Amino acid sequence: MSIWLKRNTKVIVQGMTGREGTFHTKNMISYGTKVVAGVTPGKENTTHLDLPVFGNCSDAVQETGSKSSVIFVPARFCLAAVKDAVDAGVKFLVVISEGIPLHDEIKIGALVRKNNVTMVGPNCPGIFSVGEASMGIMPESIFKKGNIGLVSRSGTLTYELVDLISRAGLGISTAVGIGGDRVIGARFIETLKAFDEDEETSAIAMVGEIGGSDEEEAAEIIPSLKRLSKKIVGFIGGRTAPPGKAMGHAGAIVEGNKGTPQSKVEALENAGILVPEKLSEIPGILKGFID
Amino acid sequence: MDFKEYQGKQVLAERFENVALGLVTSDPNAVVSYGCEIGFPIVIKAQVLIGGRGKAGGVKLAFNKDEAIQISKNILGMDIKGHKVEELLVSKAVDIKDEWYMSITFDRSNRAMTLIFSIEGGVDIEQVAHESPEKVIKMPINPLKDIEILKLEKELLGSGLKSKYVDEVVKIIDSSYRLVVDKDLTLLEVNPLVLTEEDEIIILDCKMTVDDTAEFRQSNLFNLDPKKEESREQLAKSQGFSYVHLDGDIGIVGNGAGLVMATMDAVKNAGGDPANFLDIGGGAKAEVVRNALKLVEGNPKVKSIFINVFGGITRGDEVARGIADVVNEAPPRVPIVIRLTGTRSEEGLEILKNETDLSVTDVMDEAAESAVRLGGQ
Repeated sequence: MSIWLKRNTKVIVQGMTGREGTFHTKNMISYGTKVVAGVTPGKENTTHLDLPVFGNCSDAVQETGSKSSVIFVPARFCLAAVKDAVDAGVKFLVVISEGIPLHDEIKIGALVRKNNVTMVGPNCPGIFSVGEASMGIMPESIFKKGNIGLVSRSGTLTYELVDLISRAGLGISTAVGIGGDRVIGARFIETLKAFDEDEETSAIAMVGEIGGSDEEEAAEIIPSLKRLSKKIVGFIGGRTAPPGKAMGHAGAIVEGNKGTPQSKVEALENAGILVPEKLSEIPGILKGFID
Repeated sequence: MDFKEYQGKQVLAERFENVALGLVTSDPNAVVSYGCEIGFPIVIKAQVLIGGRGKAGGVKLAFNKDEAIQISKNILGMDIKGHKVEELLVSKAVDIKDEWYMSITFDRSNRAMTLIFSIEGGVDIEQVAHESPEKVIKMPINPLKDIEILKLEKELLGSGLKSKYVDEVVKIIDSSYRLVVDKDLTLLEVNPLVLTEEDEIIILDCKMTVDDTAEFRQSNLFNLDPKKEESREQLAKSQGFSYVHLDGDIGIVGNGAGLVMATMDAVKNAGGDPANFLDIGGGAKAEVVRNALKLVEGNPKVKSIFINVFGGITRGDEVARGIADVVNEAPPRVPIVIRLTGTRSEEGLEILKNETDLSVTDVMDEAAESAVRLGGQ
C-alpha cells in the first residue's frame, strides 16, 4: 500500500510539453502511472506522448475525471498553474518547479490550505509509491518495494537514503520529498500522520535539514501517533553549515537561534526518536524496528 | 539582495512623501555645501549593509561646517563589522518627539508576511518584545486579502499609539504592505518611524531586502546599485549554481542542496573541513558542471575535490561529460573523488572510465574518507 498516490490514481501533468515535463512524464508512464492528460496553455487540442493536451485544468479534469496533478512549469508561471489546478477541483498536487518567488509561494500555500488540497512541494522531487505510481522525478531504479515510509525535505538526499535502504535489503512503501522551500504544502506533520494511517507502512524515516521549525513541530505530534510513534528514525542534514547563509534551499538557513541543527536533534530525541549522525546508520535502525 | 538605507529610501519615495531622502556622497566637501544649503545641524550616516552603525560610530550629528568635514572624513573608510564605508547619507536633523518601529517580514511559522509595530522604536525590537510584549503588535497578513484595517486600528490603539496618529500610521502600513508585495520584498523595516515636534511622521531609516528568486520581474531593483561588485557567490549564481564559501580545504560539488549539505557533514565526519557548499542544481548540464569544477579548483585553499552526484532530474551522463571535459582540457591541480549514482549513472561511469583516469566509488562515506585522505597528502 501507499499514501496519497495509488496505482489507480489518474494523473494530469501541467507543463507536460516542456523539456523536463516530457522527460519525466515518459518515466512516470513507463513505471505504470496512469497519466491521463497534459495541460499547457496555448497547446489545447493537441496531443503529446499519445495523450490529450488541454489549455487549462478545468477542461482536463472535466474530460478525464482526474483530481491529481503534477506541475513542471517554470517558476514564474507556477502561481497561475496552482490557481488553475485548485479552481478546477484538483485535490492532490505535486509541484516540482524550483525558484518560485516568496510572495507567490505564500499565496500558493494559502490557496491550497483554503481549498483543502494536499500539496507536495514546491521545489521537490515528488512522490513515489513503489510498485504503483510516480508523480515527479524520482529515479525508479533505486527503489525496492517494502514497508518503510520515507519523508524528506531534500530531493537528492531522498535518493541517497532510498538507495541505502534498498541495499540493506529493505524497501519503501511511499517516498515523499516535501521540498526545502520557505513555504511548503504537506510538512512532516501531515506526512507522518498519513503514514501512521497506512497499515502497510511499518516504520518511517524522516530526513530534515537546518532552517525553519518543521522538525520541532513534528516532534510535538509524534508521541500522539497511533501506530508508529516509536518506529521513526530521523536525520538532520547540514549540521556543519554556518549560520546566516542560505544553503541552496531557500529554507535551509539558520536565522539567529532559530532552525539550528541542535534544536532539531534535541526536539526529535526528546520525542524518543533516534537521530544518527550518518545517513548510513539509518537502515540498521530501521531493521531493528521491523524485526 | 539587501539594500543600503538610501537605496531602500529611493524605493520608498516612489510611494511615500515623508521619506528623509537627503544626499548621498563620498565627498566631505559635498557634505559641507549640502549642510549650508539645508541648514545645520545635519545627520551624517555611513551607508553599509550591516546593522549597528550607530554603536560603531557610523552615525553622527554635525552642527557646523568644521564638524561636518571632520565627521565625514572619520566615517568614510571606517570599517563596520567588516564592511568598509564608501558612501554617506546626509540629511537635516529633525526634532524627534517619538520613535516608533515598523516592519513587514516573512514569518515561517505562520507561512505569511507579518507586520510588527511598536511605539517603542529606535531600539532593539527583540528587547522591547521581551520586556514589554504589550507594546509590540505582531499581526500575520492573509496573502489572499488586503490588510484588515479595522483590526489594525484596534491593535494600534491597544499598543498605546495615540488615536490622532492612528489614521496616518494605518495608511503608512497599508501602503508599505502593498509595496512589499509589488516589489517582491522579503523584508521592509522602518526603525525609527519618527514623530517630529511638528507632529509630522517621517521615515527616518529603512532596511530592505528583495527576494532573489524574483529577479526576473524586479530587474529595476536589482540594477539599483551600479557599483555592485560580483562576488564568487554571485558569479556562481550567474553560471547557474549556488555557492557558499567556507573555510576548509575539501572542495565540494554536488547536486541538490540537501545532498550537498549531507556531503559537507560526511566530510566533517571523516575528519575533513569543507571549503565550500556548491549545488549544481537540478537538471544540470555538462557546461554547468564544468564551470562549477573550475570555480572550486580556483580556490587556492582547496586540496582535494569531492564530487557527489545522485542522478534524478540531473543525469549522470551529463555530469560525467562535464567532468571528463575539464579533466581532459587541463589535468586537475588536486585529486578528485567522484561518487556517481542514480539516473543514467551507468552511462556516466562508462564515460569516466573510458575518457579519464579518475577513480569512482558509489558509497558516500567511503568517497568522503578518500577525499579527506587524498587532501591530506
